[in-house]
Amino acid sequence: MGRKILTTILASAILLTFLFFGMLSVGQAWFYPGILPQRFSLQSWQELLVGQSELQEGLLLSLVLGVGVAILSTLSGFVISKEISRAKYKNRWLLLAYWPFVLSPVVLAILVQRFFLLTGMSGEVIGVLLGQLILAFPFAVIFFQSFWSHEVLQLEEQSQTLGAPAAYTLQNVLLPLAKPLLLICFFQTFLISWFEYGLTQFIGLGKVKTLTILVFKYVNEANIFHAALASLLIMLPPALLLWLNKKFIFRGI
Amino acid sequence: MTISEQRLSNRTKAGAGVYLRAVFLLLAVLPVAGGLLYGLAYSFGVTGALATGFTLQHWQEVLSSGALLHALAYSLYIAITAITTATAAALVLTLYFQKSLRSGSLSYFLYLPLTIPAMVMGFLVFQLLTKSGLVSRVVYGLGWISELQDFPSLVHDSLGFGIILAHVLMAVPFLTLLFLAIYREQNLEQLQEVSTNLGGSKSYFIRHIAIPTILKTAAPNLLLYFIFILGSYEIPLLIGSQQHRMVSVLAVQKFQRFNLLDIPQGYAISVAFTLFVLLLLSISFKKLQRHG
Amino acid sequence: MLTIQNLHKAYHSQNVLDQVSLELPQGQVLAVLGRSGCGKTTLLKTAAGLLQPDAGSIKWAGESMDLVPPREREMVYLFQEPLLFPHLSVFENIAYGLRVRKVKEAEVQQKVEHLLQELELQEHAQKKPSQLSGGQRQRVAFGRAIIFLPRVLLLDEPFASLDAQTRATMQKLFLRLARKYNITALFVTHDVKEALLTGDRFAYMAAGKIKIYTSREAFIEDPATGVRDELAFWNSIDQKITPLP
Repeated sequence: MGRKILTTILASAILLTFLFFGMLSVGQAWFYPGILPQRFSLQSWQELLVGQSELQEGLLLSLVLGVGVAILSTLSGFVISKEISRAKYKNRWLLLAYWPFVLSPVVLAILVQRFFLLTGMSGEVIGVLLGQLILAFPFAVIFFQSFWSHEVLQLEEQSQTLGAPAAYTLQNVLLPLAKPLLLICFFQTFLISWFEYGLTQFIGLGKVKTLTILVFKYVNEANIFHAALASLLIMLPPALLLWLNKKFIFRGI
Repeated sequence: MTISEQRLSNRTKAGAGVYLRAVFLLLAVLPVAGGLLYGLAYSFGVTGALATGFTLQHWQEVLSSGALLHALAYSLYIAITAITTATAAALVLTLYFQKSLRSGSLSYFLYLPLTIPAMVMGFLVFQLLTKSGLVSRVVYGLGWISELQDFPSLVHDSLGFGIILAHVLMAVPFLTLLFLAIYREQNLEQLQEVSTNLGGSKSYFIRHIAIPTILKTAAPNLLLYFIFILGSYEIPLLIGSQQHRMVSVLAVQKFQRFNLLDIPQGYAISVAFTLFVLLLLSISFKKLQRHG
Repeated sequence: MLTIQNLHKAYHSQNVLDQVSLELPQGQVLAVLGRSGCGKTTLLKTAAGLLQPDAGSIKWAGESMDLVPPREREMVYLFQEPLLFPHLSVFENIAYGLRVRKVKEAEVQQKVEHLLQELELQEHAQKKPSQLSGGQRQRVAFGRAIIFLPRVLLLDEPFASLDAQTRATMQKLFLRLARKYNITALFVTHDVKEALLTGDRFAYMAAGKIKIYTSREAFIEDPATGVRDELAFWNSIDQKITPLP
């Protein structure tokens, strides 16, 4: 009995969170002590769907950055993790890969901002892309370590002695074998970019307005209705991925 | 193949590998290492707009004002409290509610909170717990408080209740999923049958087998999560208190003030925190291997 | 003719290959007997070009192979475990060496089907490796290696993981196909019986050194190979069962 009550509470708490954001996103006035907003309006949603709005641009920008970071870090991570996996001092290399990965993104941004200022990439989309890549790339390198098992390396050698050039082996053996992992890594690195705030703010100087930047901006302006809509937009793609395959979001151990 | 033969095959074909390693160093190592060196130089007055030649002044100010140590202690307090609470909650869920979590609606719902990033979680907790937030409205509606001011300060409070709650809410679903995966992987179900067969009660099994196994296997992940909370930025930025700041927030503030003399201090704080985290990582890296 | 001269390879101070030399005429099988850790895997991988020797040379028909990359050597190394490409069907696994060489589709179909028949795997053509038994997998790996008629087959204990009966069938199959396709092979095994069964020529390897025998009799006579011990054992059993009058 108690078990059932607790699980019901948990499930409804999780669902109510999303309902709460949904409710706020269509609110227009929410005076104390009303539990529901007094006035509703679809204005924010309309702004998003029709015409040019900040939110629409933010959504697009976040998507472009996310896909860019995901493609670049997944591909480079795949190739370079192979090299690391067969390195003589593999563990030392991996320790280095953990550095940017464990550091607070905003502290990392502080340390590297000089470089971005000097190269004129501060406040530019390309700068934020590169900055987020510094976070996502080592993740991908660590992620793919599990793929380069002894068996995969032997399969590669087998392909070689059967006469296949490196490109043929990559295309017909390694990539097909790694496909599920490549997909998972793609989505996880996408989310690293999609969820990122601190580094994006610091290197983007507030000019590169991704969705997370907009959430903070709206909260600061006490515009909770827009903030709620932007939050929903952030949660939607991962929820969609979850529906497709839980592994895209959480891989287990 | 013997180990030495395996190593031999690893050593052949250096060629293109050198370039790949160079890319790795450039993208993963140089930013941290270069940033650290630059930050060190800046905080010692060797470079930057305020370069005065080598000086210990900025470090002395950071240390003597107590700001850094205070922020570090506060961050440690938040991280330890949050990770302990979340681990305990996730253990209870894993050990006592396994069946409900594995099937039915909750097996899907448990994943949903993973779609909430720190920024949104901070916003959510703020909207729930601020004096004019949802909880306050419900409590008012129930007649438990008679005006908005009666509602306790649960965000921007000095105990960090809001921050800790937000982190716990983020960590519990993740850790529960992790523990459930470990439960399966380590065959704890069969081990429980063995334990029962040998005369052990359920609570004995949980205390002496299940909890030690789960915590030991999850240790690398728990440590990483601890470090994430330690350096967290968005949540304390949104709902942290004015007097007590976590390290990341403090460091950024030093850059956002218009006093140029604060910048070397900002670098000093960032360098100190980075070294602290890297030290923590190196000490425990052997245990992290599993995670990789 | 495969000629290996003074092959040397060391790791730290340990010699894995110590002045290994051998000659193998085309169409013959050299059975190399040796326990695990004697350096035989290193020998085969070096011949395949997967490992670089510290010194020594490998020649085929008088032509140096030292600078030829593994994929152009046409010396196929067969791993102990049948390493099939898990995402490809049996048919595509066998066709691999032909596809790599851009052989025409009709020829691929014809050659693979013929070999599938030879290996008695016709009805498994479209199966994935995970659906096969150990013996079937080893047959696929074998077919994949010989289909494009490589210069040399390098077999590293290929049947070690099979049960005794499957193993005997595979040994016969290997012999039949080796004769039919005139295969040149280095066959490494730790099993005396297997060496005697498959080899035209014989060698014994220990601690990185190789000893080549001039004849089957010399191989049997050398106490190091353990053939005589084995014979003595079976004789003693034989005597116990049928005591002499």
